[in-house]
Amino acid sequence: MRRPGQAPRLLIALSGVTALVAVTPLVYLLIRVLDAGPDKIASSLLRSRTLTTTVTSIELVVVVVAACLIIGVPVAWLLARARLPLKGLWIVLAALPLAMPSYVAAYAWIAEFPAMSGFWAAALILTLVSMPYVIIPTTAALRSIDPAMEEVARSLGRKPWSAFWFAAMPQAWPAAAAGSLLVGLYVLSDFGAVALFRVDAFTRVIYTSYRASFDRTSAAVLAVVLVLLAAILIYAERRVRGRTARWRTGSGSARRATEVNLTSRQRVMAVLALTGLAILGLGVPSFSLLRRLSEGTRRPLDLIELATATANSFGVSLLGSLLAVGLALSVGVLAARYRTRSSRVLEAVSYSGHALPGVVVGLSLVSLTLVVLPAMYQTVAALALAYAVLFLPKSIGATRTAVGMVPPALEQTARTLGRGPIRAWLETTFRLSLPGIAAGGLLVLLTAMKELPATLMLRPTGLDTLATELWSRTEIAAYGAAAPYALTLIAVAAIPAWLLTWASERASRSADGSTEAPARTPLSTVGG
Amino acid sequence: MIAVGVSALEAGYGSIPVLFDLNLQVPSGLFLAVLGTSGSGKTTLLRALAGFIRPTSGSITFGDTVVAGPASWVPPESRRVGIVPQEGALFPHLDVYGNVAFGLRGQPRIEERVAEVLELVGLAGRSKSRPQELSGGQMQRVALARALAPRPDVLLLDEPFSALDAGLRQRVRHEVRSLLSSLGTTSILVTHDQEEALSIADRVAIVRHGQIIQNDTPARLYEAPADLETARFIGAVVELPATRVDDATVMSALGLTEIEVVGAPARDGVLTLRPEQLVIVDEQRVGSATRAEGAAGRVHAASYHGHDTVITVTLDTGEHVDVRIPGLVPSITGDRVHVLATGRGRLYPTPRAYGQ
Repeated sequence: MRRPGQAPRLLIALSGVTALVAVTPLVYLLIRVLDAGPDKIASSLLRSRTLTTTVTSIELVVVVVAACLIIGVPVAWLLARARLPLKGLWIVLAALPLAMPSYVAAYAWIAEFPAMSGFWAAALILTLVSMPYVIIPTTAALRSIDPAMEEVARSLGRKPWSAFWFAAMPQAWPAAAAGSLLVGLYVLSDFGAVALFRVDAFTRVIYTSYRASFDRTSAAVLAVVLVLLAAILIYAERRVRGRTARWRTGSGSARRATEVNLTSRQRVMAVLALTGLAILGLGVPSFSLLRRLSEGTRRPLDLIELATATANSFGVSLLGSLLAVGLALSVGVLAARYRTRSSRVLEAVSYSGHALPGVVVGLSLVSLTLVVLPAMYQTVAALALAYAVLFLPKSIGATRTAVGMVPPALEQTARTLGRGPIRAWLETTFRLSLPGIAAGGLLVLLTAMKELPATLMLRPTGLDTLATELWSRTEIAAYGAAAPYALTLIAVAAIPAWLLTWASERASRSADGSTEAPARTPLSTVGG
Repeated sequence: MIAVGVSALEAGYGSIPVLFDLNLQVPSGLFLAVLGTSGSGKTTLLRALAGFIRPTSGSITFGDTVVAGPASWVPPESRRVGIVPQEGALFPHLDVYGNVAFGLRGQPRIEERVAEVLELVGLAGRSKSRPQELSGGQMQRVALARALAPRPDVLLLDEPFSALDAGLRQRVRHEVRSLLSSLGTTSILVTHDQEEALSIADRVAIVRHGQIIQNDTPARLYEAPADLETARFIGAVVELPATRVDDATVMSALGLTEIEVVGAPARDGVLTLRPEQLVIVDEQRVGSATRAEGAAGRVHAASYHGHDTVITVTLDTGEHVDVRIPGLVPSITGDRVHVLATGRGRLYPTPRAYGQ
């Protein structure tokens, strides 16, 4: 008999397998690097290319994060606090760019302005695509602050702006900071935009040295540095988010913040600014895409190729998502039901994929399959495994939330009514959390369909997916022919974004005040 | 110390008025409780006094200054009002010191004043604590210190004790009460808890449907509620149909009872008594001399509350009456008893929907 609060051995064992799978790419990468010996590592690290790559990546992160904060925070204020016409529309438009993979956005801009290239082009696209990471949580935070805070500040002698700035805004900063760290992580891991604009950031340099294939060690060394930077950002994000969680005292606010009336001049300015942002983030890519699409139809569109690519994307991603859901189940249950130190460690290790850019997982699994498991080299299985590792955090999160919402009393009651432990679990907890787990799986499926770098590196020769087809056509400047693939990808990406915006709006409407769900779901789930 | 005056106030949210023609005078230095159920308009009144909402008509004066009226408007930051919101609403990003010093910006000797007010609320030495580290009672004390620090003319308290559990609530509110009376700050407390209002305020104003129904001392309010609904709201009440015998006497199932005459209806109505005004006498012990007094009945149930026991008696005439007796009463359920009324009752007009 185990002590109360201690997890069943089987659950621990299964979670151990999951953690092992999740950590394999990282561990193998480290082994590869260490194998090369200290001299090789040192020479790779000290090459000027390593330094310039690091500087370029960090510059890109700083510029994009700064732009997202400078534009995103005022936009969040408008969405949360100002009385505006068509408020619902602006909120959806501000969140929507999240659904566009960076390489689709980059392709669309290049197709319209073929001269676009380099650091500032990549910074522009990455800012447009990742700004929702700042806007959404900051808006939610500003909405959730108890209006009594500002009222008290007014009574204590502060004018409206001073009351907002000193009593309310400090409570929204952690949300904005956590969001901007996610932006940083996105920029650091992004492959599509930097590759298409030819910016020598980590991901592109790793990919090109892998393609050149004579210098795998230096690629691996760069990958380790990249993972280290990503881990720092994730750690910082956790810290900041943990602080906000500790700030929640009492039962939360009973009232919504009152909206501010703008002068008509200010209102016009606000609407113009929001419109401008929507044009850059959504309008230009859509216009370019549709124009190229109509152009492309002058040549016959190969529908069979498009259908094959879609089916391939779907098939491989389905495999990956099933694998992810299966692996996530044990860890998700463990994390939701047993908060012990070992469960926390297993959960944290299983989240490795969060810190691993697609390029890194791709690189590691290519080497691993080549050296250790040649039978898996460039197979669908290897690709599905990469998806599972990359998106395991999404799946664990969904499982954990779904299981956590089922009261443990149900399972215990089933036990007292004569069910054995496994049947009781299947008939209550599992049965009730199944919709949530399945939704998580669907999300992994749709996210995996957009994945580019790992797919490029791991796919079997001849297996073309939507992402690789768009990539190869863009590379040879066949913009018209690429358009149908881009459009299909946007459709795939828009489904979860739309579902989640709808769901979180509904949740925030029904549960006035409890803002946790709308603040977090779209971020932890749509992105990537 | 200044007096607060509210006259013909109409206020609400958007186009929905919540307060209608509300009039209220709070003498300088007084502790007033505004008592009402949720939706009565008591919180709206508080928000209008603080300046968080603008009245649609009527006026509010603080001392000689019209802070809200047809031609004038003083914003909240210039009203010299302190507010203690529900659950404290402490700034979570600031420590205790930062919270208390928030309203002192630009003033000399901030540190001294913060220490002084924290001392006053019994939290000296806690200035480095973060709000999350405080208990519910401590949070309310910090909220009070924060409100008092800039020496407000008027202090507004919005159900500040409702989030505390029973024992703590009593202690904190009596501490707050004695602190405020020693400072002499004009204070207005909004609450739905009649026991709280009666036990700590100098005067209690009953708000219902956006109007002040009665504004009296706690004792007068309990003894002489303005109407039947107020009588029911302020504590338990025994109600019996009654007929007027003469100016000061009515006849009911309990026999002849003296009443207070003010505002009573000309003839029939509802006699009200407080349960502690009734006395139970065991039937065997009722001598022949007292047999004519009171009403005979049988004990239906008894519920024990610690400080007292409430005994429900079904009178032979069919009515139920509650009798409150201090302390524990041995089980007498089913016994035959006599119920006597002591002291004076009140007669109110019979409400329209009466007698179920």
